[in-house]
Amino acid sequence: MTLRADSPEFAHLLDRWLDDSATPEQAELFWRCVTDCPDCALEFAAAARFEGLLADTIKARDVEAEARKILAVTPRSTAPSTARMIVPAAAPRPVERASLRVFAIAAGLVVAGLITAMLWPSDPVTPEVAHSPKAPVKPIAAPELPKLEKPTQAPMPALETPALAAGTVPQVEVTLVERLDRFFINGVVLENMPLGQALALLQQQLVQTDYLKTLSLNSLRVTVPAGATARRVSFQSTSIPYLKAVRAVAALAGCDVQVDGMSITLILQPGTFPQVVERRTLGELLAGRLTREGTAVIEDAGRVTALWEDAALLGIAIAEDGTANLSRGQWEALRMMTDARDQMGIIPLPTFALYVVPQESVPQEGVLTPDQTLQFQQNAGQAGIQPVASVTPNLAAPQDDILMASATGNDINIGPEPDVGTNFTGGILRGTGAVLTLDSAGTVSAGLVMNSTNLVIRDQAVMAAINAIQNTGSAAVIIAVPVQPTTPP
Amino acid sequence: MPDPSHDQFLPHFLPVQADLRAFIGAAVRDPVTREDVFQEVAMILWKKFDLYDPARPFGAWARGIAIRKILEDRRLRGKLPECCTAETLEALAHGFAADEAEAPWQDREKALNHCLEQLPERSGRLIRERYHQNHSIETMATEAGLSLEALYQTLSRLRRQLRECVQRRLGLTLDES
Repeated sequence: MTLRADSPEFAHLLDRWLDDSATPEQAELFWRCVTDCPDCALEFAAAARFEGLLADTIKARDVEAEARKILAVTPRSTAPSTARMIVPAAAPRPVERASLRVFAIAAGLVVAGLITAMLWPSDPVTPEVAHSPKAPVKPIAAPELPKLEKPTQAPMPALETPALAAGTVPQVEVTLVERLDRFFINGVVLENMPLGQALALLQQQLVQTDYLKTLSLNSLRVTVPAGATARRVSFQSTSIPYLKAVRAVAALAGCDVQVDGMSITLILQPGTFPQVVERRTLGELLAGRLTREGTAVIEDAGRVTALWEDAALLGIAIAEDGTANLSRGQWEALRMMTDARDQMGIIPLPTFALYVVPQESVPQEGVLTPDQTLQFQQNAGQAGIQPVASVTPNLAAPQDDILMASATGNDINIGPEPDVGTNFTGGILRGTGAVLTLDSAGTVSAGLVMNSTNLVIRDQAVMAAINAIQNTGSAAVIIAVPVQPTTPP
Repeated sequence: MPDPSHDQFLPHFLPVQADLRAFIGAAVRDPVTREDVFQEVAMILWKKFDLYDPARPFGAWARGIAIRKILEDRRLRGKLPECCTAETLEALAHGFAADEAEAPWQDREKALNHCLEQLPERSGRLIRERYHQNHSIETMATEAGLSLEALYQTLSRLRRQLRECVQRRLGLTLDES
């Protein structure tokens, strides 16, 4: 028996299926109707679509309400800043002042709510990501509370505390905020917007980057003093840990940051805002820092260039003598960006040998399996094909090579540097084309096939090899093969 | 065979992801399993994007892969009813394809938000418990002090009201079936 799509019986079966209350017999009849009656399938599709819309919308509304709670705003105060945020009173207050205090708290909450509502973007705002395409679609993976935790990708080894031998030292629990100082967000672009909105965007970018829900973000509380929420900030950065991005943005708005296990509290710095600008030597920021090899960072040309580029991102004009006029907030923001580069600089990355071969001799563009990689190396060896160059991607300094590395979330990804900026974020992928992600040992055994026509190639030897193949009428591809898997220090 | 670059993946995937999740959810009722299947399908779509023929609708291709994944998942976990076969899922996929002319997801979401605002507080709470907190009907019935049958009917009525409200907001013809 097959029911009609517009019959009450089919509507009943559909409801039962959607409510997970159908008996096996009802389920069987329902699916038979769907199979045999196109109109039933259409009605089911429409109902299922609506149910999906309903679930997504309800979740989005609840997540938004949660986010509003996370980004709590404290009431404006004219008192000196540092003690302002400490709410709990150490001793009980006189009874006669209780009602006044309750009134004050209530008034404060109303003000906080109003300010939050005013500053909160009315529509979901997707952070502008450097070079991201403007797809006219909703952001990927609407933020959901991390309720359904599932096994995650292997953590990036170099960012984690090195494992200690069992039984030697008791394990120390890493708090959420500590993890947020190792969890990278990528391509931050905040253009002249109120602090409250900037923090909300960072928050949203964090949720999107943590699409695997490795962090308990529903526990996170970011508190902003009401007097600072409207201060306008501009901040841009490449890979940077979320907490450092918050510190940088807070500093640009004239705030200090206090952290607790699961809370981040911004505190107004004493003094005027906008801050006074003073002339400083940027190189001071690199003084005393060491590279992974133990050499002085200030002698590393790549790091000096990186500092200059970071300063440029903050809109700081640098004189030829390496000095610049900048505020305390800009200095602090630049320090955070430099700290982030230090953090990335200690991560060992594998070296890749680059082969240039005709396109037809390898699989399609993309990631080679470890077996395919090994097979390719053997075939190349037998055919006498030698690598034309080797590349070790660099996380800490601007990369000027075919392969570039980036830190996103807990992962280190390595992929081809594109000639057109198409730098996706959002959880599913980063970079243009295929990327390799370091495994839990900080190594990778897979190779990468890259289309030479889509890459920035500065290496003369590589370019010559490509030209040689193209002169024979074939298309050339570049194969990156890991040759020296590094081990974590 | 066309070889679309992977940088084209997100522009294809983002517009259909909510729809794809709804398609998987139509067959896989357990929310945890549903989300797992969705994530796995998304990864397959990404990995196999080279095989996608841009001449075909991306949503249809994605549903085809989802069908295989759902059936594979059923074999592994046995959570899908036996009556849910490749044939039935294909029929559902056809239903989704035929229903694809609806208003854009964002417009419907906006309309639904408006309709949710109009719901009485108690009804809104029921919908939230069901669709965000994933409470079972039995738990909800106990907490609401309703019989199972009464709750089924309440939820069914609420869904219908909301759907009609959305259709009204979008200016679509009401299906009075």
